Amino acid sequence: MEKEEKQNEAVKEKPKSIVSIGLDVGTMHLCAARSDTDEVKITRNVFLKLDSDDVQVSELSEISYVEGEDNELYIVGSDAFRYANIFGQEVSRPMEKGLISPKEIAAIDVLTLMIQDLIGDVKGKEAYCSYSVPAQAIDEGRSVTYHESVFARILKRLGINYTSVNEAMAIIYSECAKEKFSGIAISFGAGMANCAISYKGIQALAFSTARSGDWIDNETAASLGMVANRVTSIKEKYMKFSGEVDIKNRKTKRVLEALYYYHKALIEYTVKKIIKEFDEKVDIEVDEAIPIVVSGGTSIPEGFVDLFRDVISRHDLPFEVSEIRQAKNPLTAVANGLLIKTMSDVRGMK
Amino acid sequence: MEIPGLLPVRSPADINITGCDINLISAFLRKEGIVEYEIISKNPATKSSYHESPPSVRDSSVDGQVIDKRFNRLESLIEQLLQKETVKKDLNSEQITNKLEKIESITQKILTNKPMSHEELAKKIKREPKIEELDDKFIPSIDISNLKMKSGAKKSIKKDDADLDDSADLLFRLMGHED
Repeated sequence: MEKEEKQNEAVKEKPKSIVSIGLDVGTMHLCAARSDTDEVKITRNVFLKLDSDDVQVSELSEISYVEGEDNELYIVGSDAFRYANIFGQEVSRPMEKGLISPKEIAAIDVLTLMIQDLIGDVKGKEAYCSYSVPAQAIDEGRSVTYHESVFARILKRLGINYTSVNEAMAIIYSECAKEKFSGIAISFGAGMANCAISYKGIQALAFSTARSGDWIDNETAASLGMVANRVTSIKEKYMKFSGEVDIKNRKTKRVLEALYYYHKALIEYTVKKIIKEFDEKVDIEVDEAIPIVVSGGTSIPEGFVDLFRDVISRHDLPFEVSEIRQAKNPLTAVANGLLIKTMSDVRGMK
Repeated sequence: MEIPGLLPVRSPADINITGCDINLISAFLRKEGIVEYEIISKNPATKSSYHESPPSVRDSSVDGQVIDKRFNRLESLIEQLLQKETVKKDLNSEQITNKLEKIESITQKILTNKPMSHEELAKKIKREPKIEELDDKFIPSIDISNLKMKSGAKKSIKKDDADLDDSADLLFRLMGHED
């Protein structure tokens, strides 16, 4: 009898361990945080299609790539930029203006592998993931439905339970715990500026604008007759809004000057939209001062938050601001917040 | 042909209109300019109620008559076709024979083919997919079976685990859950 019971116990399947995941799907970066590791993984959301005759696979040590049928080879992540320069090609970007690009539909398979690689192995685990979606843009007609469904399908294909979460709300979850998740979060990404107003963890308003980092690069490039890629490179290397910029090259100085004007214009535009949307759509009385958290890759240059403070101080706001601060890590705040949301949801399932 | 409330069909077809408003059906057919049709009823009560009205209501037991009528119509069509063919002087006897053989085989096929019932037709027509399935069709399929990824160096940033648990607990409570 005892022996039988023991046998039955052995037959019983071990309960799968649960892993929570936060996946930030950005125009420029893909970022994943897991509850069972102490690191946040990040990669550029770009790839470069090459013919395998162009490059030997043995030359690609330490480089992420995807090998396909018919000699197809895709260099993925940051290295795609380097190889694009060598081969004089443009990198493919699966996303555009915060959403899956209509030009790169065929890239969904490559994107699936990039996400699988970023998230890591979930075999034998019950995986739950919150992935980021932008809010509907107020200045562009494209719907987020297709984008949301594509990433749901990718995660489903990878055997992961999924739910979508607003990108700016994820910043609130990551950065506003001390205010009990009340605050305004603005994510200045590459494709979009996403904004959410939250009161005690409840989303009161969320919207996005199709102007952010790429808009700055494109406008600067158009003003100076340059290629946008070159502007992006200068911006990432030299841009800062405080202190001295020690640049001797006159052309680079001109680019930085133009970049400054467009950053300021972007902040001005976003602040005006926040005020307008708040006035028109927020019904709740926010009787306490709330913080504004600025995040996203576009907010990384030194002095960006000071510039933001300067611009916003010239406007009458319909709410009281306790402080304006930058996210602890503007590149990983969304993934971090999404992980918190997943962990909270998983607690509810227990 | 798409009669409102019924599955679309390619004519000629037998359509089960039981439960449909016969006047609406005939009005629709008139509007579409369809004049060659028959409404057949097995129910004597229904038959009597439609005997006076213009559309001919016939009992399905007289299948032979239906075939006869079809055959006559086909015969007249072939005759018309033959008359047309003879006008064309450049056709030789071999070409005409070939065409006649073709027409013969088509006629035979039509006569031997049993007219498809509405139920059979409905089975043949693909079931309308559910919204979720439509969604799956709309989004291109993901096929990574033939792709192989080699993972290289990735940027990793250390995360603050202590904060994460506290924040998740707080959010869990704020969302109305009890510990």
